[in-house]
Amino acid sequence: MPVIRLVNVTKKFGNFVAVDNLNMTIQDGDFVSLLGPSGCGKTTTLRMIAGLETPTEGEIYIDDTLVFSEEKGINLSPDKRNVGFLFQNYALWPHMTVYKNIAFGLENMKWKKEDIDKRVNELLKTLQIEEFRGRYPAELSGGQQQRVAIARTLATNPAILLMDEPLSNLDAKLRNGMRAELKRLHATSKSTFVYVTHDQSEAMTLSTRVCLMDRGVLQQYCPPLELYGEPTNLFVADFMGNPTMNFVDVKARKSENGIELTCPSMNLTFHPLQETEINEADDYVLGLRPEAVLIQEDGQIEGTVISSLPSGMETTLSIEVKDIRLSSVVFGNIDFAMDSKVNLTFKGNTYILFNKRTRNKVGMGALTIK
Amino acid sequence: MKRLFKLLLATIMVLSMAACSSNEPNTGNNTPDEPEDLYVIDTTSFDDLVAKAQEEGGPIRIYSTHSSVEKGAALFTAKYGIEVEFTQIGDAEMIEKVANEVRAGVEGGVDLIFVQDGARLKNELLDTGYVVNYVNERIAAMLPEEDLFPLVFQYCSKVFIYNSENQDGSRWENIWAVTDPANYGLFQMKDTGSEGVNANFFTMLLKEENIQKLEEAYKDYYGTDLVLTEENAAYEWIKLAYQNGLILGTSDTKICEAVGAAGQNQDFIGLFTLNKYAKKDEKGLILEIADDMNPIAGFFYPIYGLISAKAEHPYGAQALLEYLYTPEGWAPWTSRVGDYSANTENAPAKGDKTIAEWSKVLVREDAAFVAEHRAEMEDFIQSIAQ
Amino acid sequence: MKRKINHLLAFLKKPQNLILLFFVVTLGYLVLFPLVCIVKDTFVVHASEVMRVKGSKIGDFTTYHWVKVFADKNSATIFYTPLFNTMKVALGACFVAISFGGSFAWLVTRTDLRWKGILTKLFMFPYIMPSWTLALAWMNFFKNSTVGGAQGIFTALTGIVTPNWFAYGGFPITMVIGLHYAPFAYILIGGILRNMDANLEEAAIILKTKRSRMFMEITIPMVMPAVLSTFILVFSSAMSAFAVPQFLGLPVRYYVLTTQMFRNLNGTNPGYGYIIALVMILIALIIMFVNQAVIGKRKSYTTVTGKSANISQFKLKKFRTPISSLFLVLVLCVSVIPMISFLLQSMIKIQGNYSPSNFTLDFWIGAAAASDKINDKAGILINADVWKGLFNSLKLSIVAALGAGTFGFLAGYAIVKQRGTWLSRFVENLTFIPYLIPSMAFSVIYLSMFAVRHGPIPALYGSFAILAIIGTVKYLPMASRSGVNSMLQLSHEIEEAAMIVGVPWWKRMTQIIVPIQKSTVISGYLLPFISSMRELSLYVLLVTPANKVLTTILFQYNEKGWDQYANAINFVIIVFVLVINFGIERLTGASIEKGVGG
Repeated sequence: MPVIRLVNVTKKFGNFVAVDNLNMTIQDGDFVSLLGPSGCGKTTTLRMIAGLETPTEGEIYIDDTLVFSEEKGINLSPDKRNVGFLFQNYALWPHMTVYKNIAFGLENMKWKKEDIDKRVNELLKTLQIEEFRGRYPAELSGGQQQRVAIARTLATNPAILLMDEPLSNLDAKLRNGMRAELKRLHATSKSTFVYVTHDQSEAMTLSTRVCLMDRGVLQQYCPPLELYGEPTNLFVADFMGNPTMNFVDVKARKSENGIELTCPSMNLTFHPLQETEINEADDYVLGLRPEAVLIQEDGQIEGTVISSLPSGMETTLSIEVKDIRLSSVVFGNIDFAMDSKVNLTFKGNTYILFNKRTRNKVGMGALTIK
Repeated sequence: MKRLFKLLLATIMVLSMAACSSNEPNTGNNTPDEPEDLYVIDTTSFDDLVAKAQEEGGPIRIYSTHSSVEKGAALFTAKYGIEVEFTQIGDAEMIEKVANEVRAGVEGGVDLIFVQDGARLKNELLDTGYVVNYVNERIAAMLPEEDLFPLVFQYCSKVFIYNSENQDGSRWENIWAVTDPANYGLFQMKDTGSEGVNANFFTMLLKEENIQKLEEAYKDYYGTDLVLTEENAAYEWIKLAYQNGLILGTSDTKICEAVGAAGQNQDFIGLFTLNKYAKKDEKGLILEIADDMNPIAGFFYPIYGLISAKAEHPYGAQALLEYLYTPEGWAPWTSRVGDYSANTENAPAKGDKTIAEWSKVLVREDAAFVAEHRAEMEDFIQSIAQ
Repeated sequence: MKRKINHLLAFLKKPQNLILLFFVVTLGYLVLFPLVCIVKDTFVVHASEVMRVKGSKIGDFTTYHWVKVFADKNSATIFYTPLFNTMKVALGACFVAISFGGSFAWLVTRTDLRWKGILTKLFMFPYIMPSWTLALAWMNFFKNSTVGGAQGIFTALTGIVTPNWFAYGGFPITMVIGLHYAPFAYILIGGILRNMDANLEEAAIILKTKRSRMFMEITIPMVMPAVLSTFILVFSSAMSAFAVPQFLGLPVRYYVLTTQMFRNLNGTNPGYGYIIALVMILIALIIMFVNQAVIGKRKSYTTVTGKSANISQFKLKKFRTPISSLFLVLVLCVSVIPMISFLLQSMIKIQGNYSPSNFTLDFWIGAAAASDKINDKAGILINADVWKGLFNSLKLSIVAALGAGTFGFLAGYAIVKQRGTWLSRFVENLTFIPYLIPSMAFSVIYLSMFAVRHGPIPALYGSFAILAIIGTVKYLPMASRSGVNSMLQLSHEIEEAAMIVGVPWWKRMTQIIVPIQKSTVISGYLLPFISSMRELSLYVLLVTPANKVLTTILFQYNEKGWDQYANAINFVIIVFVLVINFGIERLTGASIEKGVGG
């Protein structure tokens, strides 16, 4: 049963199109991340689901109930959509204690006092903030405020939890801890999570599906590993991954071996997994993930190490091959001397060819070096 | 915050012990007792005064409670070429200002003042020596002797004046009528707190002769003897007037307009300067003077002409003061009803009575008496004012 | 010892410390010393009191005033009744200002009210007008037959005679003062509503909060600090308002502390006046301390601005036009209509007669007629006195604004830089005290303080300097508050970045801090300027003929009942201030709103 469905949703602020004809279905129990650079429309999308923002066009369903339709003039107010919302700045009410903040929503639902008390205590315990119950938000640290905000949002047991960059105001260490907790929370609560972030690793690590957006347009909507491994266009490929994917401008020509790729620094043959059409007049871009640029003694391409950045678990290299530069990740605790010579090779089916004009993926496959 | 407060308190205490100790000049009791000491009669001739004044140059600075002085001074300027700077200020403010100016010894301070409210003038300016009671031979010749100290420049009258649109004056023939509940809320006058001469009028009622008159008038009006709830008939009358909805104003002009406006269904009566009455036709007001009011139809009070003790242009001030007494200098007043020169040679305006005639029905402000008793009256008014 | 000297040198090396010390010394003299003098004056026999305090000499120590004011059979009329009236009026004015200004602020920021642009501009008018002119307008409209004279316009139009309580006394005083300060409420509350994190309300909506509950438990508490600061500003302003109760209260003998103080200071018992002034200062101080205690630190309201700048506006739906129209009418009633009435009144000869033959421009451009005529003064546009007054007003307001604005900004800078030290807190409170001292008491004290020479400080009475000083000091709180607020928003790093590369202090100020804070700085000048242009009670006792200002001329004319001239001058003041205000707003982006700290 689809839980949230957006149909042809468009949102304009004046002439500015924040979200452009968005179609998306979020399944029950999913943890969906809305990912993208700032200004891509992800927060707007989330707020439209919550009902805090009114779409200009389109329809939104929650649990098969039409909550918004421009055409039919339906617009359910946020309180009737049964969603929880976690704000980026927590939006804790500064004049209420922690306890009161959490209890507030329950009071709205006319819960009995004992029930409220029980529920709030339970949440305080779960989120390990029992000792702060009598404090005001200003007397809490960022992480503590975050927990209070989560507790407040969870208090009413919403089936859908919408979160707007909830971790962005925390420091790196806290953030990692909270990520794990959020993931556990998702697993135990069986709610549907929709989560806005601009941090790809957050999206990758937390979500069951990621919706990557750019300038109001949905770029790709799929499980996170697929987003990383099989980007549908240059934007997705470039956005995902750190260090970023290597892009090499090439000319392509079909031959009986596969597709011949030429550029000034090397000549390669691309073996697509599926039949791929090539237009020789077009320019192409070959995408190589850094971990797929292998350093091997017997590699056929020679390069010079420009920089070596060891981090212990892995080392990121920047290698110059004639007039292009490639980054490469070598696993293990190794360092390379500056200006030393290394040999490169390619392995596996993770190489992707993009049409430079349309920016779309043309094919994916293996590479051989001529 | 607590600490700050303590600190503040400490500072205040230290400062109050040491610092502001010398604000008031110590001129408390140098009041001369004998009239001869009060003023000296100057024998310099007018021409000499003018010559010295021209040497001093201008501008001669005047503060005055009344505006006509400006026009008289303009004649002086035209004739002798000495500039005059004129400012109109109310009495209370002027006395305060002059005292401060003289104390501070400011540059550009006042030279010559025309001020009313004898009580405060005597206590705060004359007794402190801030102003000089200048008299010369010619002025002394023009005025009756009782007007020489403090030197009276002119008199003004305030009389009971009523709206005559719907009635003849029979309603207002006795001063107790304004206290009659049948006439509730009809009597208007200027606040005693905003113009001292009004307080002086009340104070003058405390004089034995006036108290008696009031008692008699009460019997005339009601046919019975007055039963006192206050110390005497004067206090009684004032209290009853206040309790009977007395309306206080800030300006005689406004009271005059309020009382006299046409088309009202209330027969107001006011106690205000006769001069405002003179403008009634131009303003479309319907007014009559209640000069039959028994026993007192109002009051008249002096406006004194005095010279600052720190005058920068003393000769100019002296010459100008003298000039304004002469028929020539008095010219701007000749058409003003309600203004009377202390120089009896200057006749009152057409249609007005002389001050001698008026004094039969009006109470005259006596500076010495009001200076003595004004405070008691103020305290009394204070106690019934609300 | 040497270490102490080094400490001191290090302390003095910081410009902000020097500034703070400067303020401690100057404000000590100009603010604390006057307070001390007020205390002293309550125990002294003054010149005019010799006849009252029997057997005393000027300057004698006496407890006469204290006994009379607090424990005499007349104490009720001297003090307690006016005190009670003042409380009623001040609280009532707060209620009027906050409910009218606050609801207007809410409508403007949170709903789809119509004509917002013009409404917000007009809404500021009552604040720009001298407060008592609104009282005169009230009288023009609602005058009834109690005091006689021409009937009010309202009665003339509708035939309804206004009851006494509506025309004079506590009610109209409360209304007029409240309306005069309603813009304060609008600016402060509107500022918070505008900047308030919309997420706070959205969070409540998501949690199924009813509109009414959200308003009561989220919105109202959030604007509470603004309501409280409005309350303090309006309360202390209302308490020290003089001209309004003087005009509207006197006819029915309704006295408040200020009018009572004026009677006493201007009459023959200034000692009472000083005690009343002291009481008023104490009340204001108590309120300030209570306020600080109530708000406290716990519920800090630092608002991280949320993402949703475009919070959904409350739709008034079918009430949109009625509510908008209602407010348009209300706002017109307190802005344009009074001005029209001033213009009309300045052109008619006989009051209450609006026939064309009664109209004249004599009071504007006519030559002075004989002294027994109505138009016995030159029309105000050709009247040298009026021009001189206008020039003096301008000169004084510019100097006071420059003084208050500059010192206020410097104070704000130094206070924020040294925040947390007792010196900084001391100066911060010191700069606020002038706000609490009633204008009239303040000027009376300056009058006696500067009447004689004190050590190196010459007698300044009668000079322009004393007006400039009192204007600067009195308006310092406005500028220093906005200075503090704006400096708090500026990160220290901005200045530190310049310090690192060795930019000297004055250069950092003139080339970094001031340019960044430009609009606050200019607003810090604008508010004192406008306040000074329409100030009366602060200057009325201190001006001498040589430097009288337009408002004192106006007040004098009003009191004398030269209505046509007075109305014309009033119209000129308002138009003048409006033009300057909107001109500066347009040119620089500064505004009164920013000056008040919204």
